[in-house]
Amino acid sequence: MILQGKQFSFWTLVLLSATFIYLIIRARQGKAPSIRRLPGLDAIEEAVGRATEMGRPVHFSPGIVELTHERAPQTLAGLSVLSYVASLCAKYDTGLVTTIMKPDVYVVAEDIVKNAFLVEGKGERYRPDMVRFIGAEQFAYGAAAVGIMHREKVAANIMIGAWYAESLMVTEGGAQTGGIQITGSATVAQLPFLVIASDYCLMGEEIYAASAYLSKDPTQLAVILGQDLAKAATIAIMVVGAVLLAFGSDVVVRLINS
Amino acid sequence: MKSTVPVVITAVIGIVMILDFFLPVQSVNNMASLLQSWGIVISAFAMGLGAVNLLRRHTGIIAKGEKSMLYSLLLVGSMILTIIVGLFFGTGSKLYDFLFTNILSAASSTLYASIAFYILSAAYRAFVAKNLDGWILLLTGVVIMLGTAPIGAVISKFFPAASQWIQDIPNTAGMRAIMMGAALGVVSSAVKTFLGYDKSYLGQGE
Amino acid sequence: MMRSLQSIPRSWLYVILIVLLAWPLIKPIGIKLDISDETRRCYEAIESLEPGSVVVFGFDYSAGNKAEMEPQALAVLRHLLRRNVKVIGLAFVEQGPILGEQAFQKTGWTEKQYGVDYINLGYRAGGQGTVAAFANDIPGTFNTDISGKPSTSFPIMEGIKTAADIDLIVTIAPGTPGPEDYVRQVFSSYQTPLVCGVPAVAITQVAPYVQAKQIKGILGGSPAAAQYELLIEQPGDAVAAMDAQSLAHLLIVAVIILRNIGYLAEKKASNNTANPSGRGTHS
Repeated sequence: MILQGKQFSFWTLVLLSATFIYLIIRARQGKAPSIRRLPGLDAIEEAVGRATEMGRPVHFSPGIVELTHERAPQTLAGLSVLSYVASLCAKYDTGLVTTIMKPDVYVVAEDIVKNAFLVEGKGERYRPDMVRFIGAEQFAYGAAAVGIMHREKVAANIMIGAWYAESLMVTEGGAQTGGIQITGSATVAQLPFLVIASDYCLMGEEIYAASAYLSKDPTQLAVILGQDLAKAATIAIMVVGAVLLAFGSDVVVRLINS
Repeated sequence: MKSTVPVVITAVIGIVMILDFFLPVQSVNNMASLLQSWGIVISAFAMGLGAVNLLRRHTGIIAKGEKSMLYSLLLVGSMILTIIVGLFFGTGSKLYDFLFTNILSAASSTLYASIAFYILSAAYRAFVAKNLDGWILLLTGVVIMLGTAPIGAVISKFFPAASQWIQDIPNTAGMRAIMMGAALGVVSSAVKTFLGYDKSYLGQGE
Repeated sequence: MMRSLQSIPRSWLYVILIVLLAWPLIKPIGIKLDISDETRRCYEAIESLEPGSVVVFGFDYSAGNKAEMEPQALAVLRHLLRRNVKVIGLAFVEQGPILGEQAFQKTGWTEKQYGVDYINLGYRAGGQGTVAAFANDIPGTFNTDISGKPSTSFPIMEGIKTAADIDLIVTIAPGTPGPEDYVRQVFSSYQTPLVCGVPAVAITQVAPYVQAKQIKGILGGSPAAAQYELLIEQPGDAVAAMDAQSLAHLLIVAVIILRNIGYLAEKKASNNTANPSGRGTHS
């Protein structure tokens, strides 16, 4: 029934999904796991606080890919963090500038920021220019974001999402403003740039953990536990496979290729 | 109801696409092909939505006579010009090619090239041997810099060999680890989205 | 004096960089260029194609990254022209088709017969989903060529249904859709050989797929394009740019060293201020 060569992947996916669902049900029954600290996410409140003290705005970007893109989960992770950042900005009456490169993300981001201000009871403080759509051209976006950060003297730059070659332009441009920088991405090729140009950087799956970490929602925390269990299983398969290969048995390789 | 319907649509479409990857069942494959065609059409519409959005925002700026009006005028003017040339002369025409090569391509390449300056200033700022991590970053950076440019091999064959080793062994190992972690993160995001625990794509935040 | 090395004005560094980049472009130095194994693997993948083979060429780059990606595309297209194979050009990024047209013109493909020896099928939106659709149904996904004529009306498309009918896929892609999408959606189902060109920073991201033999070879950034130009004995823009790149890299290494000399000097000076006798604080 299942295509040859994809059987292992299929059953792994089924097992993984079943584990996630089981852990979610367990969490809803009150057995929520705890999660290790993520300094990058803890620093967001500090960054917004610093911006508040300095009377300067916070810049936020959820990356440069659209919601239909294969890297859209990174954009969604960024949007979850945007919701948190917008709430903090609303609570502390801090300025917020969200720059967006993709039109579909713009519509969603606008809704998120507006909602966050309403929920904090500060609906009247929301301004449409808190979310700005900048044309869908990669480097034009990068240049515009750097320009905005310099002109508006942002005190904090938070960028969580998928990035490409413009990542260094935006983060280094942000660093030159002297503000605190918190970045995150699962686009591995851009991580070195983000790491050297930021104060805090969330790497890989850490950005997917962001919404669970910030919301402390038990069901989302359960999914993080599932991710860690899956990671442990992956490591176990790799170690067993390597040891068996060293002893001349390719059983694990054949299983994976089945 | 307002958020349940989109969640159900997302889950059903997602599951069909996953099954299409694994199962050689004609009805599933046909449905996936249909959904892929819809995806292509929706993506094309999203581009149109972007153009309308951009036009709306910048005509608003022009109408209000804001400070940045000049840039908005430039943007709207070049947008209309490109649309007219594309529609009436075709995207294969010499005029369209002229606009593309001499304006868009030139401007984009210039901005891309400006990354060289950012690399220089980032390297100058960040590559400081303050601790062991700093030393590792610094030495690796120098070896890769020299190993990936022809001058490295002229100075010593050590640089390209060491650079290749760093890229093939420690770097690839690290990248694989991050990729696997991120892949698991994507699966967990999909489960959360399909079950309706993550609705950030509907603009509802947390 | 030494401490001032920690704060060299950025503008000075930028001016030096411009001079170092421009000078060798005007007056080449001719630094010797070695061919990497990776580039040679790509060359061999194309060299092993039989005349008449069908190659899909993905122009998956845009104007912004043209400077780094186009030299790779041109070098590979020139090689393909020499191998006498058929090329189906297509794109999963918006600006790909027009850059494809320019690349076909620059490499002499336009002297061959359009629709018989080569074709430009234009762009289809939708990212990885469209790459999957392409793999399963090439004429259905790219149902017209760039001028809007039905793709199946061209002789080159005869017998082309799925990715299984393609002998090699070349994608020149700085981002997504790119090599990883072709591996997931095309190679995993059809095992069509794949060669890709990526920017230098993306080599590490794609390298695991080469080690897993899912991609035959990668061209990484301008150095690979320059090496490819030398392999096909047609030195072009990429070879010319290599001297500039070498000097820029040397400058970066130099400023890193200067910055660290400044840092160490400052550290030493502050240690001396804290402990003027020069004796250690521990007994």
